[in-house]
Amino acid sequence: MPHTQHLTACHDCDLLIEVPSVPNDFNAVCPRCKHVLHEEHPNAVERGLALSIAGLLLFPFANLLPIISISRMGLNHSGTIVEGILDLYADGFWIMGTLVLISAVLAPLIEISLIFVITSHLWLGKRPRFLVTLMHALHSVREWSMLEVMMMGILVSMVKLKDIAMLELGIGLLCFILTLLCAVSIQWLVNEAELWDAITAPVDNKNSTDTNLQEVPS
Amino acid sequence: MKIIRAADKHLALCNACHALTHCEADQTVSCYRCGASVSLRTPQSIERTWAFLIAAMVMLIPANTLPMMTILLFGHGQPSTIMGGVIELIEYKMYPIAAVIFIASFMVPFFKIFSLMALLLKVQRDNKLTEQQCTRLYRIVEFLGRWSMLDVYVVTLMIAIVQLGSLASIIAGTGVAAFGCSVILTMLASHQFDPRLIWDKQITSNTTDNDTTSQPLHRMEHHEQ
Repeated sequence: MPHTQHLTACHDCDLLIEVPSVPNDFNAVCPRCKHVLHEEHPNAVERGLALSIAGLLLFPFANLLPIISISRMGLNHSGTIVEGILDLYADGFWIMGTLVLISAVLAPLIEISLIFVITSHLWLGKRPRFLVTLMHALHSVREWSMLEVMMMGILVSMVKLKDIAMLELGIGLLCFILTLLCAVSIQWLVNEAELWDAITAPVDNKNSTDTNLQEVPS
Repeated sequence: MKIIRAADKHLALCNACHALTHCEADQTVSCYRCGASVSLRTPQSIERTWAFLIAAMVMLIPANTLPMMTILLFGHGQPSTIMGGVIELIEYKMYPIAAVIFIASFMVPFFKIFSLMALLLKVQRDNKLTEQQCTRLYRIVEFLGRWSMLDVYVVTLMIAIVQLGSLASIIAGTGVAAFGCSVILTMLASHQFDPRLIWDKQITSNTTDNDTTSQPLHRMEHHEQ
């Protein structure tokens, strides 16, 4: 959806800037501090919907199916992310367990679910009022979603386990990688600004520009 | 080139929806578009950033001295701290992974803390860093924040996977709890820091109330992604 010209301030240096219409696959940066003000991606709503559906379908498998199995002298055992969290709780590390639960399981799940709910409503053309609350929740939850770090954690664990036992990679790992790709793609291709524009766009007037701020109610 | 800040025009940027709302200094209003609370600058940014930063520094002491985990093979094993784990990996000649752990769990937390201190001191007292360098530093700190959780995730996965009874098992150590708290505290510290404060010290030109905002204020640069 082409972005209309509007007035904004740079988040990093507070420069007042008039942003022109940004064509697809271009972005607009602050002239002073080079902060990316706006990135224009085509079809944010459709892509967000597709990626979030895929992510939600893969998510339970990524967390509940075994990621890595080890075997040594005939004994073997496999582990999942959720099992690791439950073990932390069982060992008394309830702060750590909650932290890992939130950052590796709940926050990504909530983020993908929110994208799904928001984009599905937008795609169907409905804009109920609770979408604003959901957008706020999305904004808050995004910084706590750390799936890429978990991916790195899996790789490091694999290397550390290499000399303890023989490793076998589980199907959960494949699901996890796919979920990660969905989550990362959502973060790249669907930015909140485009969703806000879709939610708050006036129904009739497609050429709204927000240039006269003296009339903004305080 | 005239530099006009949104604050000069009493306009505050909404963090959630990026709309500009009229706001006076030290005031908190609701964003006109989405209702989120909005103010010219993050309230008490410097105080809160220092508070989180000092707490994070305190937490780093047990994080590095207490063991992260103990790997037991046939019932024997040594608890290992962060540095202990790195040294062990070096002894096993696994240099790339030792480097990853050393950077993510040792260098990055200290780098974040020192960077945030440099940014705070730049805002409070000024120093030799330019505004551009400070902004770049801030963005690096924001990006790196989450990667220190790596060690916590490694411990979580190891205790889930390595459960072979007395043959091989893993016990998590208290160090991992302190380390996780330290990572979260530095993330909260960098979140509380308002990067616009760095630029506020620059000389800004005065604006009159007669300026209309419908004129383009700055030419934009298009960058192909």
